[in-house]
Amino acid sequence: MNGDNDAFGLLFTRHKDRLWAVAVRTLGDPEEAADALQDAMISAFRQASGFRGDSAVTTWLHRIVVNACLDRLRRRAARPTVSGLDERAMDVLSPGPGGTDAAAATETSLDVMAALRTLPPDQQAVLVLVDMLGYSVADAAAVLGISTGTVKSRCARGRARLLPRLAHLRGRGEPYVAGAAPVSSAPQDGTQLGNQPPSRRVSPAEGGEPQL
Amino acid sequence: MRGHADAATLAAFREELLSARKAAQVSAHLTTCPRCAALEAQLAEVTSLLNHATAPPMPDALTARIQAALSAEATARAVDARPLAAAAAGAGAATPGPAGHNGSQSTAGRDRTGDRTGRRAGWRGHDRSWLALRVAAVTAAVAVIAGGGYGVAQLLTGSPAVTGNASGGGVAAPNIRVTGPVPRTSAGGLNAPAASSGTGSSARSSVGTLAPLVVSSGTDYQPASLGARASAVLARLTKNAHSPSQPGPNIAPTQNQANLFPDLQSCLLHIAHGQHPLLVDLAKYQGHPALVVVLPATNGGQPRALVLAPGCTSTTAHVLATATLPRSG
Repeated sequence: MNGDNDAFGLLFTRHKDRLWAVAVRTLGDPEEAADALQDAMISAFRQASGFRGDSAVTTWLHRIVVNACLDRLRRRAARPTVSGLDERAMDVLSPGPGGTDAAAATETSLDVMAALRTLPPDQQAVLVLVDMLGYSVADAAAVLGISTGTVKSRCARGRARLLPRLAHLRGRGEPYVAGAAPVSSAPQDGTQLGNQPPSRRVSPAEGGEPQL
Repeated sequence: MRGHADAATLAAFREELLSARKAAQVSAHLTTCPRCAALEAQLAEVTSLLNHATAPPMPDALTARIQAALSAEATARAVDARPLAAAAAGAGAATPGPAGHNGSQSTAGRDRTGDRTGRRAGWRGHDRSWLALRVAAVTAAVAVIAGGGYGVAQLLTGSPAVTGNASGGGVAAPNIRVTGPVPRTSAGGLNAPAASSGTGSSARSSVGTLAPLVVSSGTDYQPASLGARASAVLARLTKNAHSPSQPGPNIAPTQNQANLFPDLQSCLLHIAHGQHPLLVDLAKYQGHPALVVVLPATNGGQPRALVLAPGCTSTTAHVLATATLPRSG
């Protein structure tokens, strides 16, 4: 039992930054993301008897987090709320050091997040995984438990819907450059395989791990 | 194809979702229509904008909160399992109710100790009070950091190095460190209460009761005998603490040993989850430097020893091994 507990703790430690990145981008609200992540971890721990430290566990863990976030997104969508971002979301995207460039990047991020929030939850989820975090379509499909075709379809519909809502930001998004580092404050945990420009998305995973 | 392609069509085209015939039409059209080619480029830019949207790293405080919740969940699970085992051992003579009953008990227990552990009503407020309460229960030396951060405390006392990193409104993580040199005397220093952070016999009076022992026993713990060795060290130190003679100077940690765990306070706060360690031994495990921590028994069980690799911090603890201390006598 103790061994399982410790192993789960290590699993959490290993993936927490990636899981947090998924949660906070999916929900936009750091407090809600924190709650969703905690709920997911407790849920995963309860289901974790006999889990093994293989790639399937990684996908499974991400799936639990994504589903916890989607549940919240759907509940949020079902009740009338003020659209856009609140102050807590502003905190999330608050600029770090870096001067006007950072401030401009923050402003852009706020607009992007606000636009994303207008999409149906299912489309938000795939765009967070694929476009924001750089997961492969196959990995996103595994995490979400849907087909790759459905991932692609939701991505396409989501991007098409976002297009007019991001028109005012045109020119601020940098064109893809293979190997270019994303301008992101997301955690750099050394094992990070997402959060890459899609052009780098297909880099081979180390140790047989999936792109998660 | 007739007319221009709309964004949905172009987005589907980019994901290769169109039929071969339709895709060929769109492809041909894009080569001759600047307007649709521009729209297609804008779709690519949507992905780029999403990819460059920033988000913060995971706050350390959240990591600690979730780890505490997981620990509480594990404890609840262990507590839940115990009555079942006892009932089985008792030949079922006093099995309380139908089989499903125990399941609901288990759920209730977990809800009580797991889900609500660290649960926020507002993470800055509730968590702060929760953690402060937990810490206050285990140490007399509490330094609550005001502002947007968490309440934190010195788990081990004697060093004044408690600093707060609590920017207003933020979710700043606790930032507590042992910054001074580790005293080599066991009477004062790390084991002394905050109120008497100098040397003095008052520190020793609390050894084995409130203040945890931070020692270097010189033990090279081994997997098979971890629990027994930890029990022996604990017994030896407790005996010394209650005897008129001082514990031998050889049990005081050296600076080199302490340097392996520069965040010792944070580490202990992190792994003990509010429990008060009975023993903190800067020792060896299988020949390598390690920290052996003995946490008190919970719910009638036995104390538990954990072996931590060097570098343990408030957020990261590599547990190399655990063992339950054998029952004495």
